[in-house]
Amino acid sequence: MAKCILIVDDSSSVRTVVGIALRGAGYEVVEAGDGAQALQQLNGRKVNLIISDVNMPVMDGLTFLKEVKKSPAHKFVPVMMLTTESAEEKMAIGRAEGARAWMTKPFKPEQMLAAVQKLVLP
Amino acid sequence: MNMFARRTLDVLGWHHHDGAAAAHMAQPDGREPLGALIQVWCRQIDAATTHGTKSVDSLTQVFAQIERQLAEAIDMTQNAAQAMGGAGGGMGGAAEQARHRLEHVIGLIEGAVSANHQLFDAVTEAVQAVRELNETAASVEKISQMTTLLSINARIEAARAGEAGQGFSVVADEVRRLAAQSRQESQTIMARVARIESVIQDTASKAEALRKRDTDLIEQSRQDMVQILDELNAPVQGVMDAADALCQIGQSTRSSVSEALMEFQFMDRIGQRLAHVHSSMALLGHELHTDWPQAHQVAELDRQLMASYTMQEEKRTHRNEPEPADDNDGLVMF
Repeated sequence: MAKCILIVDDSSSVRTVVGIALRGAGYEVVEAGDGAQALQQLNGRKVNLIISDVNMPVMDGLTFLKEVKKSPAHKFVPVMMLTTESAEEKMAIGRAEGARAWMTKPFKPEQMLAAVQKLVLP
Repeated sequence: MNMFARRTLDVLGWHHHDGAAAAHMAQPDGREPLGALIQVWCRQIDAATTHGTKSVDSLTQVFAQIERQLAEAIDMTQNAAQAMGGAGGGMGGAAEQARHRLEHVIGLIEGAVSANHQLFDAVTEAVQAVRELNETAASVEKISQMTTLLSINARIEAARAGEAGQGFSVVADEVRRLAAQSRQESQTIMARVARIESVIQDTASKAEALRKRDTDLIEQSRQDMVQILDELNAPVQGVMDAADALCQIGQSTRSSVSEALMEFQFMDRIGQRLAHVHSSMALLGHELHTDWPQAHQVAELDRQLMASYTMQEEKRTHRNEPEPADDNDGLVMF
């Protein structure tokens, strides 16, 4: 059974290109346009990894990360931030909130897949 | 009028006056039209960003669809080629199966012919046995002839012996009668054997003809099989070569499409950059609404703009620094 990865990004094109890279590697992909949608997607669903943008409308990625870590069902799901944000302080917040990796856009598919393989839950 | 206002009006090609002179101007200064112009700029940026994002999203979807269709086409082609060609390549799987079936049929024919050959061998053995039987009958006839001669001699000798040989003469007559009977029987056997030999010879001739026909049939079947397989193999190999080429081209195109798709990430970054500039311009418009901004207010605008940046490339552009060769900051694992 394919491992499931949740992609959270307000950019449809970014979700699409990340999805293509992941599906090409055999992963199942679920998409959400912001943190609030992502929490709805997580409801009752088992995911093996979350890849989230930081700057998004409605609910930003760092707030979403906090919510995930509060959830008993999903707090152990690894989260990788995929963002244009490169500020050290934001990265530090992400790390403190439990993110496992921080990747800056534009991403290279092979680099992202290598990180995904390291992080994804069995 | 501060430095920023002077620079802005310079850029716009408008005349400007010192604060003291401006204070005495009856006409309103350029703040209001500049504020309106900034709103126009903001709307244009909004529209361009919206249209750009929409177009890139559509393009991304189209390319993603192409990528998916290519993947499906490649899978279908590979599956079809595999079904036709088997894993080992070379002659096609379907043609290989046909060859196996034809060889099986040839094997069945050869089995039947082999049974015919055994029958022919049996007939040949029967011919040999009949010949031996004939020779035996001929020997019996020869012996009976010799026995007849012997009985004649015995009778002559019995006559010479006179009365004493009369008994012996009777025996000699009986021996000659038996020899004659034996000769007659052996001639009957020889005649019958000759008839049997004729029938068996005829059967053997027919069996030999059948064997030759079967051999020719097998040889012809083999030649036909080779020809059929050759005729089948050429187009099958052509289709398989074409399928291989199609897969390679498909993979290459798919790879190119995937790479092109990755480039669509640019719109996300452009959108963010424009959004940051848009916010800063909106703040300037807000300042202009009340008065020409003072130097410290412009400095604050500059600081806020810098603080709003998320990308290093924005900061470098702001500071007018050159872009590095590879701007990918990459991955940090925690």
